[in-house]
Amino acid sequence: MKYDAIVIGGGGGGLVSSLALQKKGKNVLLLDKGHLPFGKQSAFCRGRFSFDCYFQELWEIGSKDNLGYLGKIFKDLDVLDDIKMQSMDEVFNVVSLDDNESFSFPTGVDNFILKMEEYVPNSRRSMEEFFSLCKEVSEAIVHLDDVNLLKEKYGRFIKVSDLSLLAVLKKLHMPSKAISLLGTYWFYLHSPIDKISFVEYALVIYGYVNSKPFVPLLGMYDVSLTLFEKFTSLGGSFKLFTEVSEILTENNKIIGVKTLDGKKYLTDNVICDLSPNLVYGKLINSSCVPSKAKSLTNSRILGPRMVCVYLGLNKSASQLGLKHASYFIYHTLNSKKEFERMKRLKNDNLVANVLNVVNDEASDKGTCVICLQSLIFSNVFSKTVTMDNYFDLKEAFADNMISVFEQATSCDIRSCIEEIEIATPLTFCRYTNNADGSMGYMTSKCDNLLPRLMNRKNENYIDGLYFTGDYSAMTAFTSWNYLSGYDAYLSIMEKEDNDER
Amino acid sequence: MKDSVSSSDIKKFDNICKERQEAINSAYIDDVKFDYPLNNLARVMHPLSIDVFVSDIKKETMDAKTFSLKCKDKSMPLFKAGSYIVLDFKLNGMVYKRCYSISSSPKNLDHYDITIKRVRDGIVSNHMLNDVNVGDSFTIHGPFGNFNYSSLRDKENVLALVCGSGITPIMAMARAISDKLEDFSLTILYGEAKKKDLIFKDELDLLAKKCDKIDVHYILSDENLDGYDYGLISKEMIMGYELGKYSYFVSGPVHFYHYLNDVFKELDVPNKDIRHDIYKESELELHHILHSLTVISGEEKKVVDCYEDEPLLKAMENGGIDSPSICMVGVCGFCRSKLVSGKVKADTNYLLASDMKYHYIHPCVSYPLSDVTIVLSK
Ligand code: FES
Repeated sequence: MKYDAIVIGGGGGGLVSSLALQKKGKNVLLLDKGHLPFGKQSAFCRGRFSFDCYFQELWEIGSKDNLGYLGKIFKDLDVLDDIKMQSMDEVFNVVSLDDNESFSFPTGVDNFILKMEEYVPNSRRSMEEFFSLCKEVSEAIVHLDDVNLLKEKYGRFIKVSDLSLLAVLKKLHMPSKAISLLGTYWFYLHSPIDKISFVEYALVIYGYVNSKPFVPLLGMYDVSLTLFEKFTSLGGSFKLFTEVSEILTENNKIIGVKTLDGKKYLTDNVICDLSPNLVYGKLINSSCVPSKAKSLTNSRILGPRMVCVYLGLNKSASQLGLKHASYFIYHTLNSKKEFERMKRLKNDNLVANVLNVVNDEASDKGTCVICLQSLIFSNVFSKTVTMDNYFDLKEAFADNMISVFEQATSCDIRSCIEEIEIATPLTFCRYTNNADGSMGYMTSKCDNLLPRLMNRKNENYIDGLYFTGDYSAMTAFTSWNYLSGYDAYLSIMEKEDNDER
Repeated sequence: MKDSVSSSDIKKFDNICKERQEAINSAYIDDVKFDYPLNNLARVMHPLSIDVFVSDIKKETMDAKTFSLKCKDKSMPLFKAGSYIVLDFKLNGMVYKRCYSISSSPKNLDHYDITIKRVRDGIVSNHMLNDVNVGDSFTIHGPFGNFNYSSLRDKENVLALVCGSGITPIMAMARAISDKLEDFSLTILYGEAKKKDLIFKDELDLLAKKCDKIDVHYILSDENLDGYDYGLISKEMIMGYELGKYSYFVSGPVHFYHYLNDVFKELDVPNKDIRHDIYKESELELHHILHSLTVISGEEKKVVDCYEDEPLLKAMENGGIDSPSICMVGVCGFCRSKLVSGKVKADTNYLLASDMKYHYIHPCVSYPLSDVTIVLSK
């Protein structure tokens, strides 16, 4: 039997592409090496607490009558109504440890601008221009294939398309304090603001501010499982505990996959929710990997390594005085400086999510769950860790992150820790086999969202091979993980149309 | 910013593609290597399974033996004291999986020691004690588990409340402390029926003497001897250690947990200060009533007998259905299956909310209350 597509790994991208294809009447096989087919988009229990492994919120869902990119896809996949969600009223709270300051921003473009004006007088005009530019970018981005239309209707998009965030904000004469505050999300885009592509940043911040982030009430795991349930209910096949050992090609075309247990499955299309490093470096026989694919993969730099500390506390968020759902905690608001600092092992910058602030059912009454995430922008973790120092290193890391969080929020959480779990880059290696435990690739001038998207069709070096997830064109950002799956689905459908013609 | 697009703007836009292609073209075209130290280390620390042989057997008491398990060509993965392994035990064409805490120190990774005490009518324990010899080989999985000390969560002082063979993970902790791999004060209250049943007594006494972080007291329920407490581990004994200064590590059979939970409640001990080793038997009171279990796995469908007082996983085990599992106690999620019809009495402690929404269960801790159909996730 031959499958229309085989999907390797069921992270957000893998799940969406599996479901979308199956829904179109295709015959899809989803393979995953784990006992759950969800990659990082999974969850786990400790004591009376449960924790999502990775991101906690979705964005680009939009509202009922004005759905965002992701909202439309979920609606199209018929899962939107099955996932109960709560919108967030705040985008972020950013703390500067050295200056002992903190700033919080509400959702909604107007509210955001007002708040910024309050913090930084005379920022209003540039902020308004910024958001109108963001709007244009988010409208233009879906027309990348239609250059003439872009030129005609989205001139400002064209103008900023190769600029950095900092360059554009300077052109808008935004006060420098406002620039730093606006740039808070640089942490997740893996570059300081003078290196982040404006377009990429605009899409992220506009998605958050304009269409509000959403928290699934049963956790992100509910999104994964809902997609999976829909997939199987439509007859989708899956095999868990099944690791792919080889992707088979012939004349530069996909013909199937082989699994560790020696079985062979045939197909013309393989969607990898995996890193190209793994696919081209191990799963496809190197003599069958086109040299372009090799040089593309070699030209890229692995993204940040993440350490997550999951805490179940025996006091509620309000008892602890925690008011914000997400804290961005930096030494200073200078992203360039902080980016350099984060190449070190111990860097004190982190993002903290306090889920109960948005979702009071995230854990039992009188308790709360907190997830602290720290990134390392180098391979220093793997250089430092050995089997002998691993447990100590992990504990010291978490110890420091807890201290930083306490310092930033002036609240004592240490004495309330009922459950703690720590995930390191090694943990991500174990469960997802990400290259060196990285999260996607670093971004650079030629390797960020726009150049990736514009080139992605030329970069299908093997016919029938697609990538989704962290290492795909859509980069390492949860909601985009899902979009990348949809994109792979569209590409397969498009290929089929062309073949028929 | 002006809206009108100049030709230089367009050129820049067009260049985005070009520059990327140039960057790719100028990169080296050597083979991509997927050979990262961290991915390799992850595989060493968390292998899918380990083939071991019994390198030594030591008789601990009349009813308990310690088996040293070694791997032919490599050392064992590092673990935190308190962890357990799962042993595949093959008998008459069936595979039985059992969890055993590692009792040896994480310092010596040349082998793992597991100590097995005879369980009346226990298929695996009886065979292990009667029939297994040095040189016999097994497959094990792990180490797994969360019954470990955490300096970030637990108090500096740990009071271990132990009943019977529950001593094994605590023994690993004592050894790890003495080997300087763990740093906390461990006081062990070790309850047994009779002196002759105490496992590791000589070594525990020695460790307590040698290391000022370790202290051990024995409580015998069936014998009143000098130098031993008589009776059961009691609220008063626990109160002998200043409340609020200790984390409590409980290890023993399920009735022991229940008994102590009541004590902790009376003493107002917060959840946070209580750690349990995994439960080892059912806590449900059920009847020996026959039902039928239909198991769907891919295209296959199989029907086996199951009893109300026996977890579904056991019914599958007895019926020769190979279903994924590790811990057998509802924690690891490996056996996670979908209930499509019938009623079960299930321990849902470790099920995620969304799993419940979509009717998933853990067959290792789910008991049939009617005829039942499940779909395996594999
Ligand atoms: S075997 Fe671990 S949960 Fe059932």
